[in-house]
Amino acid sequence: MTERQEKIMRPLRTTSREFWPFVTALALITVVFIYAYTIQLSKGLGVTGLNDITIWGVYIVNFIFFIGLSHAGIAISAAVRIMSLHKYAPIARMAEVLTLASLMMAGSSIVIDLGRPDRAYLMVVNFASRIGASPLLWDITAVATYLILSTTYLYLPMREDLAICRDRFTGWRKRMYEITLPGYEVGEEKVIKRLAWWMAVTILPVMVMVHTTVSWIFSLLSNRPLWFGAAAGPYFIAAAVASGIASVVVIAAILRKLFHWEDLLPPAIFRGLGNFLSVITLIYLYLMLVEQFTARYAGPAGEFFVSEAWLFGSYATLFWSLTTIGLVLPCVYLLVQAFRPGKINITLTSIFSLFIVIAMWFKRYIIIVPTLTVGGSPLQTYAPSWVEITILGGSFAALALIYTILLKLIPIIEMEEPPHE
Amino acid sequence: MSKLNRRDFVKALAAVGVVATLGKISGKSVKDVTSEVSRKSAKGLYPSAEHGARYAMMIDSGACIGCRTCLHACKLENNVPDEPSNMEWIDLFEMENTRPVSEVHGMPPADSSVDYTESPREGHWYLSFNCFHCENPPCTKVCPTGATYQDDDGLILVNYDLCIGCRYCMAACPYNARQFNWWDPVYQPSRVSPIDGEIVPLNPKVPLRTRGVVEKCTFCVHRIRDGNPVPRCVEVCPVNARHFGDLNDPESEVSRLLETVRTHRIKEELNTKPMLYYFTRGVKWKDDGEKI
Ligand code: SF4
Repeated sequence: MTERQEKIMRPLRTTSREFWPFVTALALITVVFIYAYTIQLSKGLGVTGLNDITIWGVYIVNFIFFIGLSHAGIAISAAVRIMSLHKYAPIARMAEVLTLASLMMAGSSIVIDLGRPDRAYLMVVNFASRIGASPLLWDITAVATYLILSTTYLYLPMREDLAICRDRFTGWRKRMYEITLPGYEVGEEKVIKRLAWWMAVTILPVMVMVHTTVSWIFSLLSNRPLWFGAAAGPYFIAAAVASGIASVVVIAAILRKLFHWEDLLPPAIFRGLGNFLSVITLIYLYLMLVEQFTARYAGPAGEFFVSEAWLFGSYATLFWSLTTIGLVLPCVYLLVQAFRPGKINITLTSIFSLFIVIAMWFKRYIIIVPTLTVGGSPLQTYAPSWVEITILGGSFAALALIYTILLKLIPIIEMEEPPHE
Repeated sequence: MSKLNRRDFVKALAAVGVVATLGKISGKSVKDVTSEVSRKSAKGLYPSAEHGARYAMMIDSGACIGCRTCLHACKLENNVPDEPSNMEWIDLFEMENTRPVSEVHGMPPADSSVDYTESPREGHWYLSFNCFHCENPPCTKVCPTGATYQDDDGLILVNYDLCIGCRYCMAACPYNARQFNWWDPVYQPSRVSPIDGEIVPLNPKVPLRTRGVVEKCTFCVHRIRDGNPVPRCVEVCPVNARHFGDLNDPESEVSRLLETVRTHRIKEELNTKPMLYYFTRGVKWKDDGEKI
């Protein structure tokens, strides 16, 4: 076993003192989350702050947000594979695992939002007659396809590493790795590599379509100002890419510190991701600008009033803080860093990336809620209830829990040494 | 399995899929297939539709005095729960006289009042809403299960047994015509049997809803398809502000009205082709009972 492999296996081999308290805390929050959901199940969606005017809230925001996060994995690892960007190979799997975990949370967010989750199977039963019509069904189909593809895409190239683990461990862990490796043959990597390349080519357009169909759920409704419009697809994709890449930066920085992976994850990776993030955030800000300009210039009733609520109304504090602190500030920092050669500050880069991730959650909130409430009866406003807030916090804890468990089970960096360029 | 075999197998599978899909929708629009499935599964919930009818409602917004008789009669007729109390299939808004209907952008109108305590009031008029039963409904299109559908006579109905409560139809409705059962429906003690706690439906012809599904005005489908010419709200209106009938029947009241009065519909620019028309006979209501 090489030194590199030993290093990568560090999280699998050793368990720090802080690990168990951390996992227990996450598990506890997840339990509270499940408890809140059972309350909602037994009493009805009335326990949320939703009403007949504001029909969607935190759950749908969560759904869009998690779908956005899920973008990261595939985008990075497919790009690494197709364009042979070996420099980024060490973060490819980290990103893929994030895809998997957040897709799971996206799926559960949708189910949590249903009034009759016990009947969710009806979407499958009536699939043939409804798939031609319902954007929600398109999206569920797209997300399911994406989930299957990205799981396969994560698993196949990983078999090689799982085999190394199998040989390294003894006892129940050895058996566990054996189970995950049906039909493994030494030397199969060559075929799998070619297969994975083609899968990457297939997955990229699927990824674009997934985010476009998510936007279509909203942007095809002609009665909803600032949802309706042709630019929603690119707008959503930009948001997804920004939040996805930003969260990978955060995760990579944390793991780097935690497992002393300074040499495995060199600063060049963070510089490259930061540069890309700055550009994509800039594009997003630009899209926001043209959207607002279109809504405000002539000021048609629907668009104008929603825009007023964003910029000057009851959502103004949220809107301006997320735009300035969450988007403009990180964007400026990353741009300056991009143009200055020399060392980069990984801590600051990841903190500003975290800002972007948080801002993107609130940006989705601003997209969903005002369009529903503005113009509606002033008697029915929306504020998330404690159940919704618990479920919101709980789904993030669950995401972290899934990630941590996977971190303990699979090598989160590809063992194979990337070829030097 | 050799390589070639596997490929053939996949090909065969794809072919079967394509043939099955084409066979299913060939010669019919997606919309037809959809409604067919939905109609079939909703059998038993509603009397079956009469072919060739096209129901419409016309509201004389100049005559309406905002008395809410229609609203309460509707609640009783359709077993609409008493709690939550804002569960109503008809909404009534008090509007300033200076506000034209066409200015309504948000739905319900932002500067109107739903909880007025006195009516009719000088200087005001009353705008009432229920489901518009659009000819080109945006709500039925988006439903992922086909629970809400357009029937042969143009009625937009909800099959409460198929609805999964995603509320997508509510997002798509430009008129906020749909209500969601956020809680278990609660009925007043007088409507619950003292013997076994069962709900005594005031109207056994209308199915009860459960928590977590969407409901809305049905144009009293159980009446109009069962020999009774008009929905309950039309029947009870004390000033005859509501009119109902079959637009395909040239003799019906709505057909004749459509020929004689000027009408308009709300949010026509969305191409929903609503079946709820508004008209006034050109005068506004005044406190002394006279028309100006
Ligand atoms: S709430 Fe019910 S009727 Fe409405 S779209 Fe969803 S499943 Fe269909």
